[in-house]
Amino acid sequence: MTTTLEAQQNPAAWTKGLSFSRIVRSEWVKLRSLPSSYILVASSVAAMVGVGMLGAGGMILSQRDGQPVATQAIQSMPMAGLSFGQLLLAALAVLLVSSEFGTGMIRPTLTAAPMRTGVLAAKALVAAGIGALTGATAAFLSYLLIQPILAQEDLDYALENPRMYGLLLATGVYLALAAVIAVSIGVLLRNSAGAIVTVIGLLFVLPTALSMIPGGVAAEILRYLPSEAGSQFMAAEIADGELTRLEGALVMTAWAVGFALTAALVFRRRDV
Amino acid sequence: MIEARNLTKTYGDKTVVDDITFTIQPGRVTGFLGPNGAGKSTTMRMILGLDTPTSGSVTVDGRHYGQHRAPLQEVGALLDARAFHPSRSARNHLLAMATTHGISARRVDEVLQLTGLAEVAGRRAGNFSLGMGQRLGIAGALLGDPKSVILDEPVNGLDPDGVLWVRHLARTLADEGRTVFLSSHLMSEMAQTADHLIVIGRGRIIADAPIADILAGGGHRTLVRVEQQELLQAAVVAMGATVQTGDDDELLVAGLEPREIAGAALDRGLLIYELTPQRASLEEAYMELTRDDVEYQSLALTGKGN
Repeated sequence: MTTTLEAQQNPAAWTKGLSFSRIVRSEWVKLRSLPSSYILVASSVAAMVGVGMLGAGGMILSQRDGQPVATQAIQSMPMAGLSFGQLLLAALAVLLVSSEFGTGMIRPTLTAAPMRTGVLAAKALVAAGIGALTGATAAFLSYLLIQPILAQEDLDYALENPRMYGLLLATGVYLALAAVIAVSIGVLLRNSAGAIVTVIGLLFVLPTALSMIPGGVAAEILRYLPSEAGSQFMAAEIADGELTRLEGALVMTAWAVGFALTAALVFRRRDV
Repeated sequence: MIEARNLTKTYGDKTVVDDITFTIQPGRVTGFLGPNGAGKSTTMRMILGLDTPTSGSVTVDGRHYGQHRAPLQEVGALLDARAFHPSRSARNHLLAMATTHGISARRVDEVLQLTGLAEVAGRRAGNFSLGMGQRLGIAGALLGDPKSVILDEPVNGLDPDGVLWVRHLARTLADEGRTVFLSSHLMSEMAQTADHLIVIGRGRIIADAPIADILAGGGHRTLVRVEQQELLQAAVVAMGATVQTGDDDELLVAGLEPREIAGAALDRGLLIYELTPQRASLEEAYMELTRDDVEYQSLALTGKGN
């Protein structure tokens, strides 16, 4: 048996050395080489578009019943499915890390790239990127698909309104930040099921539960949860006393940064 | 070259690696031998910076692993034959690792070729047998054409053909001047592969020597059958040997060569009718070395006898 172990070419021709941008690219290779990524992105988009279309259908019925629909409700329709869509995308972001802990893949990953903060940042960046892309795509797709439905009662509207662009893009920003939170929770908990349940609890169950509790304290806490603060910067209208779009964006960014920093601190110290 | 200095790892009050110091030289195969739970894998993870030592340090060519600019070109490691995502193909698994270093897809195909995985490269790694998983792990270790190669239990799950292949691979890597460090809990495997052995038990180094020395260290004894055994016993003890007496006319003599024993018998006119050198096998030497350091000792099985 003859084996040539040495690389066939001059090293300079086939290897360049470790760098952050290459770690990001590596994480992208990992994401796009798993069938589950496509399934989760597609179902996330489908959930958002589907809910938007159902909502639009509901508006048509209500309009026909002689109950006029408020403009701001129509304008928020493309974002209506976000609370479901975000869960599927967050699951994808969690799996980006928790599956590595679950399978042991984290060891080859950290052997190839020992700088842990860099690896975490790369994962967060890739998750945020796919989140932004998914969110914006789903929002624009929803917008496009509900116009023919709304047109039946002349409720359709044009994208020329510059604020609409902002709102649709904000959906992407929201999902990007939610993905960073999900990646961080994946790092902190390591266990896929536990981390997904925690993310769903934070983004979906907790806000729902708090909104059912009467009293000012619950409402006050609710305002500052990531999902609620985040939905403020996608709101078509800001009611008095609510966080403004900028405040909402800042609060949610603070959540994402806080989670990411905590995850980085823990990840740097932990044995894998 | 891999150098560990006073390396210690504790989990709670359990010391898994206990103040070990060693140097692994390039150009030869160094075996890391010890019973399960002796601290081999923990030591290997500390070399790669995956586990942080409680105290002490370990360096690869003078630096901590993580401080190298192209770690995959310094050390290639196989720690666990199942450490990949089951839904990802073998080629994409390697491509993801390679991408961190800008290693070309051509090199990925090269190591797939080298490890005999080229034909299954596009398949989900989750369907791989343990042996194919080992090969994929080894492919990952070779990606960066590294100066040192660390393999944790590399022959586990391999068929006989694969075992031979790993031995040949380790030999070739060492002959090319690389540092080769491989662990096993099987002495017989190490005996066929390693030039040098580090034996570890309960987190401490029990032996760190060329394999030939470890063999000799087991000591060789000579079984003697002789008439009037007590006379020969007195004679060889006077010459500095240690003696165990057995049944009938048996003596087990340590510390003298057979020729010296025969000489002593001849001088006293004693009739020897058996003289058998008993070279300790590596397995026995290993058991001898680690007897007190096995964490989980099984009870001797006693047959009921019916």
